[in-house]
Amino acid sequence: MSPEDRRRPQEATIVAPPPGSVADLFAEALPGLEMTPMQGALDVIIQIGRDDAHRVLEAAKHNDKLAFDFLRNLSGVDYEEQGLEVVYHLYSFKHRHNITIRAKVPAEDARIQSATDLWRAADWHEREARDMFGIDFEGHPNLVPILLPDDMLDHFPLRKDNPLAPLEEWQGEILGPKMGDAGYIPPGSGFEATPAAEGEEA
Amino acid sequence: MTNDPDLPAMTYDPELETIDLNINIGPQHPATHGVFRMVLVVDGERVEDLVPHIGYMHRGAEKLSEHMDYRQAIGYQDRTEYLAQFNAELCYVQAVEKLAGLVPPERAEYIRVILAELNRISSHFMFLGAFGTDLGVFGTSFTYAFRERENLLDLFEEVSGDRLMYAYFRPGGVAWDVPHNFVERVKWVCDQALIGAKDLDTLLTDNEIFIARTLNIGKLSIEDAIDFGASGPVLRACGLKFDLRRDEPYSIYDRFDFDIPVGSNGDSYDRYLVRLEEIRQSVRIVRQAIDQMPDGPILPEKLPRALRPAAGEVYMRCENPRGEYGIYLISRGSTQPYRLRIRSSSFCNLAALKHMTVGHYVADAVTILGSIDIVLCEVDR
Amino acid sequence: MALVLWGLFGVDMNVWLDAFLRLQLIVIVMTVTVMALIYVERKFVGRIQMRLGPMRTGPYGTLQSVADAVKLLTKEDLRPATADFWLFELAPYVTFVPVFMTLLALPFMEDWGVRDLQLGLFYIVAVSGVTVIGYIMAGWASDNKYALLGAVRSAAQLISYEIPLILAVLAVSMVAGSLNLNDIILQQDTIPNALLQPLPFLILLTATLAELSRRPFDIPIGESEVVGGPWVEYSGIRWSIIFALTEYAGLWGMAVLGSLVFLGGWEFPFGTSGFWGDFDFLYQMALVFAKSSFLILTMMLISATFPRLRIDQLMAFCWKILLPFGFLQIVINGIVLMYLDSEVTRDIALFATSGALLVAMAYVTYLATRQPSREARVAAMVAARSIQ
Repeated sequence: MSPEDRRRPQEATIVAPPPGSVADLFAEALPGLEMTPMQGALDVIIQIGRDDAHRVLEAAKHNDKLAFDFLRNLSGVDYEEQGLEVVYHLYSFKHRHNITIRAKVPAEDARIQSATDLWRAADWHEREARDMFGIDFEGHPNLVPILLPDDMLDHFPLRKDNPLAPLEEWQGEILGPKMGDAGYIPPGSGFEATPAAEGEEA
Repeated sequence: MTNDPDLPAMTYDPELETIDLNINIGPQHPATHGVFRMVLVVDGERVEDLVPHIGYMHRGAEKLSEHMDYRQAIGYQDRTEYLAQFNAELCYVQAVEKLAGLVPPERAEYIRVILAELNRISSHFMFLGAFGTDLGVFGTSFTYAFRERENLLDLFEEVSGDRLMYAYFRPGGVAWDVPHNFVERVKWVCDQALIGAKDLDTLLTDNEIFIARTLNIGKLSIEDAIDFGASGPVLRACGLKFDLRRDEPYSIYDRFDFDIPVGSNGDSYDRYLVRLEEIRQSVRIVRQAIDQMPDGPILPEKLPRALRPAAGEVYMRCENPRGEYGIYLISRGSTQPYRLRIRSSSFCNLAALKHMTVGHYVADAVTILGSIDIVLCEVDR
Repeated sequence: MALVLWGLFGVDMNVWLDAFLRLQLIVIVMTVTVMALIYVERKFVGRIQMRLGPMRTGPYGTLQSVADAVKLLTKEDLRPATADFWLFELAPYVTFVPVFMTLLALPFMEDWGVRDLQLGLFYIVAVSGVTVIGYIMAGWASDNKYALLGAVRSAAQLISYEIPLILAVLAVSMVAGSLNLNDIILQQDTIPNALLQPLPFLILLTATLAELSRRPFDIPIGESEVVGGPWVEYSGIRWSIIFALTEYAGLWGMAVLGSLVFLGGWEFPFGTSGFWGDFDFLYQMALVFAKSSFLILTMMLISATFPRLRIDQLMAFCWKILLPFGFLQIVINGIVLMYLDSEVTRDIALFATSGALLVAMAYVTYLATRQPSREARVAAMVAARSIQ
C-alpha cells in the first residue's frame, strides 16, 4: 500500500449479518424497505435512506418483535463525499437485543424527521447533532443550541470541512483582538496584529 | 434574561396579583456540581418550570480526539469523565481493541477491572459526600467520604503516577505493570472502603431529616427513565435490574459473582441506597479479582507501533458509575479516529431533571440534581 | 481585674457611670466570647469531621479568630450598585442591636447583670424578635433574588419559631411565678427547671436553633440553595457584624438564657450559701460557664451532623407539633399549679405531666416522619447485601 493510499479514507468492507439476526426482523416488519444490513464489531447495522428513517424508527419502537424502547445514543457523522449520517443506537429491554440504524442525509440539504415523538431521550441528542453538524431535525419541539453558544447557528464544528486550526482562528476572530494576538490572526478578519516593539521579534 | 427564547414567559394572574419569579441557579453556585445552570420558575417556593442550560464546559473532546493518535486520545477520556477516569479509559481502549482486533493478556484484564471497580468506589464516595453537602450536612459527610477517596487516589497515584489524569490503560493492555505491593494495598483499601461505607451509612441512611428530604423526592417511573435514556443507578433505582456488567458482559466481568442492587421507587433516597450498596458490591468484585489475578505479560506480544485499525465502526458501552458510558468509534483506516462520539451517561440522566423537579420545592431541585450525580465535564465533553 | 470591678459596682456611684461601665464590660466580654466561640466551633466541628481545624495561626490555631477579624475589618466594604443604600447599610446593625440588647438583661452572676429587670424574660423575648427585621431589610435591599428568597424564608421561620420559644419560657415563668430572671434562678435551688419542665426545655433548644438559623434550621441562609440568603451581597466588616457578632453573640446569649432559666444558672446545685464569701462569684461564673458551654456544644454537635430541613417541613414541625404541645403544657401547668398546694406533689405532677407530654410529642413526631415504605426498602437492600 503506497503512502497516498494509506492517507485516503478507506471504506469498511460490508459483511452480511448472520441469518436470523435483528436485520431480518426489520425486513419482516417492513417489507419492501430499502436497506443495507451489515455486521459491525458488536451490533448489527442497517443503513437506510433519510425518507425511510422515521418509518423504520417507529416500527423499531412499536413492533412487538423489535420493541426497541431504549435510545442508547444518537449521533451525527460526516462522511465527507458520501454526505452526513444520523446514527441511532437502540436497545430493547424486552428482547435484549441491539441495533444500529444509520440514516443517510445529504450534506447540502441536511434535514431529517425528528425522533423526539418516539423517545424523549432524542431531544438533547438531536439538539447536539444540530449544533455540531447542522442537521435540521424536522418536528423537534425546541431545536436551539445546547452545547454551543446561542448565536452559533451557522458554524458546525464537527463537520470535516472544519479542521481544527481554522476553527481556532475563527475563535480568535470572535473573541476579539486581544485573544487574536495570542496566536495567529486570520487575514481579513478586521483585526490588526499589534506591532512588535522596537528590537523585539514578533 | 427576558429576551431568552428558551425561557417560558412569565405567567401573570391579574386576579391574584402574583407573578412567578425566575431564579437563576448557576453556573457559579455551590450546588450545581460544576458549571451547570438552571433557571427555575418558582411560585413562592414551588418550582413551576425548570430550564437547564449546559455547555459552559464544552471543550470539544470529540473534535480534538479526531486529530489525535489513537493512544493520545486516551487522555481526553480522563478529562471528560474526571471522577471515573479508569472506567472511561476502559470503555475507550476496548472500543479500539474491538476495531484493531487486539486481545489483552489476562493480567492486564484483571488489573483493568480492579482499577475500574476501585474507581467506581471512589466516584460513589464523591457522590455520597457531595449529596450530604447538597442536603446541608455541614461538611461531615464530605470529610467522611473524602477520607476513603483519598486512600483510593493514593493507590491510583502509586499505579499510574498521577492522582487524577491517569492515562494508564492502553489498547491491548496497560501502560506498565503495577507496583510490587499492589495486592496488599488493594486489600487494605477495600477494607477501608467498607469501613467508610459503614460510617456514611450510619451517618445518613437512618437520619430522619435525611429521609424526609430524599424519600419520594424526584420520583421517576421505569417507563419514563427508559424513555429519557437514563441509565446506571438512576435507572436501577426505579427497580429495573439492568447492569451492563451482567447483561452485556464486557472485559472479564462474567467471571465474578456480584449482586445488582435495585431500588423500588425511583426517588432520591433509592438512588442513594443503590450507590451505597454498589460500593460494597464493587469491593466484592475487587476481592475476587485480586485473588484470581495471574502473573504474566501486560501487553500483547505483537503490538504495532502505530495503531491502524481496519475501517469499521463500533459502539462500545460500559457500566460507569453514572450509567452507560458509550464510545461510538469509526475508523477509516488511518492512525486517527475518524469519528469519536462519547455517549455521556450524565448527559442523558440530566435530560430527565426537568421531569423530576417540576412540582417540588426549590430545595428539592438541589437534592434531585445532587441525586443524579452529574459530572459536568462529561455532560459537556 | 474582675475583683476591682466587682468592688467598684458595689460602691454607691453615679447610676449612669455604673451603667456605662457595665456596658463596657459586656462589650469586651462579648467580643472575646465571640472570638472564642468561633475558634471552638471550628475546632469542635473539625474533630467531628476528622480534621484538625485551624492549626497554623498561633499555638493550635488559637489566634485564628484574631487573624480573621483583622482580615474582615480591613476588607473593602462593597455594596451592589443597585442596592437600596440606607436599608443595605443599616441592616447589619438592625440585626445585631437586638441581640446585644438581650445580653443586657441577663444576670450572669448573683446580682450581676447590667440591669435587673422585673420583666426580664418578657424583655428578652420581645427584643430578640426584632432581629427578623434586619433579615428582611438586608434581603430586600440587596436587589438579589437569593437574598429575597432567603429574607422571605427567614421572615416565615423566625416569626414562627418565636411562638414556641415564648411558650417554653412562659411555662417556666408560670412554675416560678415570676418574670424576673433572678427570681426564676433563685427558685431552682434544689431542682432545675429542666427536670420539672423537660418539654419546654426541648422546645427551647429546638426553637433556639431555629431562631439562630443554625443547622438543621439554616434554611434562610442555606448555602447549597440560596447561597447565604439575605447576606449574599455582604462582605468585610458588615458581614463580620452579621456573621460573627450576631450569630455567635446570639448563640452565647441564648445558651446563657437557657442555662439560667432551665439549668438553674448559678444557683443549682450549690445554692446561694455564700460559703466562699466575697469570692462566691467565682464558682457562680464557673457554673454558668459550664452550663452554657454544655448547651452550646450540644447545639454545635447537632448542627455538625444533621442535614437541613425543607421550609415546609420546618413550618409543619413548628405549627403542628411544637406549638400544640407548648399550649398543652401551659394549660396543664395552669391546672397543676392551681389545684396542687404541696410543693412535693406539685413538683412530681409537673415532672410527670411534662415528661408524659415529651414522650407524646416524640411519638407524634415519629408517627409523622415514619415512612412505612422506607423500612421495606432498606430491608430489601440489606438482604441483597451479601458482604459486611
